[in-house]
Amino acid sequence: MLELFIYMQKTVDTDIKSLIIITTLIFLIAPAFILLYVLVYNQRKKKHIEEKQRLKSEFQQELLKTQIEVQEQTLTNISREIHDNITQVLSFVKLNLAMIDPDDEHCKSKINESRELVAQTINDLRNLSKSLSFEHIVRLGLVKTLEIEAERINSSGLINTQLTVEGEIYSLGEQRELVLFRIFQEALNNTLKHSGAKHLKINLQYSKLILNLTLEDDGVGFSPGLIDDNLGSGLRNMQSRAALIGAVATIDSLPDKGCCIKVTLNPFEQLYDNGTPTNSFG
Amino acid sequence: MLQYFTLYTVTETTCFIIALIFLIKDPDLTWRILILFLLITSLVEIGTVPMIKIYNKNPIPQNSDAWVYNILLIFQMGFCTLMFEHLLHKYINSRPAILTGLAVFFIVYMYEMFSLNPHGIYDYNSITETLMSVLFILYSLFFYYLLLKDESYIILKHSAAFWWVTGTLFFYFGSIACTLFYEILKSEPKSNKVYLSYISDILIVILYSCWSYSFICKKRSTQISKA
Repeated sequence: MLELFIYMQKTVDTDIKSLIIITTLIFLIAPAFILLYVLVYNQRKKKHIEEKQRLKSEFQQELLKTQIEVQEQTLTNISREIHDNITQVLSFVKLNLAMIDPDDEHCKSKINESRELVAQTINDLRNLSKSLSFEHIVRLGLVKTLEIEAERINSSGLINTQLTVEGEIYSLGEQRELVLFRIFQEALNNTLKHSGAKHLKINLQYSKLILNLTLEDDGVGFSPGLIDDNLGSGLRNMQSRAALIGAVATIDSLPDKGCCIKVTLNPFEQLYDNGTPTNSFG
Repeated sequence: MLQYFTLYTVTETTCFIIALIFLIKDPDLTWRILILFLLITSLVEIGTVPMIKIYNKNPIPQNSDAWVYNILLIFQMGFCTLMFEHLLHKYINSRPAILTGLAVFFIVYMYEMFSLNPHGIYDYNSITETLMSVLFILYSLFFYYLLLKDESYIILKHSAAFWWVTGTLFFYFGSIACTLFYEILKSEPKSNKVYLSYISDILIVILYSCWSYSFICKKRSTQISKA
């Protein structure tokens, strides 16, 4: 009888022990599963946010690309219009003026003066047409276009520019060169409009792995935190354009210390996330 | 002297020291208050060591340490509720849920102590403790829900709030099992109760490890936000 009681007591003890262990395990495993679920869900959330960010960035790039394409098309049309229409008309006016043979000396000198002015206007318009034209930039290449532009600015007398090219020149692809040239134009425009600079140094540095385009002026400069909307949007535009070709535009300036804009580009870097070739917008 | 070095006293005091080091200069008052809570918990744990000896010699309810833990229960509820309010407040207005929880806790606490316990304060309020555990589990799950629902992503590995809640969830989930078994095993031989102490040991280690890590994360996030 006593043995039976001891046996039953032992069985009850074992049952209680098993019950405690199993239930406790369940009570510990349950929060562990909850924890695991939270971790997995959070990881998914991270991927979702990254994907959203990527799509947003792709959309921004597409938008910028479209804007630039539209702008380029407009500039090309204006360039053609200047070259094919206005300069032709002016050439005709110049020819007409040449055919007049007045007896009056005073009248003759006025006509000659007018002819010179028309010739100068034709020349300026042709240069302007070239600097707007996508085809012209593509045909001549970045370095030659910059040289022509620097020469044009120097002859205008607005500012003294100095262009230096270092390293062995190589092609960056027409789209990249075009974007770099547009950045240069934007920077130049800002310098002429806002800086009051007397000198502008343009440096193009070609090395095996990197290309630097630097524009440095001796103007009034600005405090990066206190710039007006016009200048600010111009600077942002430069940075957006640079980002489009995988370059980085850095702007350093301080009041009375001039301004330095540097565009750094890795010529071998892929342009877009979606695998679009480096030399194409489309 | 060695009798004071139990797993409970060591883990709680270590966690208190970690809190003191990492939270003392924290700009967040709620987190700083946790130092006080851990100090109270450590002192209670050390203070009850001689009481257990007295009880073992003469096991009458008046000699037990249950009254100390009944008082500690109020502090536990107060400090942890304050912390949950602080953590949930980031996402929603948590005051109604928190105040309702507090009201239910105090009603059950008083009812159990003065109506259900045969020896009043000298019997431990285990029903109130179970209720408190259920409330904390619900708050923890609600916190997880809000965390996942929120649009912003946080790195959980370095989230102080997440690790504090995780420690709390594990501890109170497990302590429900302990409390339930404690009631069942009251009349059983001592050999069976030893399993409960093992479970409690594991839970205590999990709780204070998670909390200690959360204090380190808090310090880290404060440093980053200052930088």
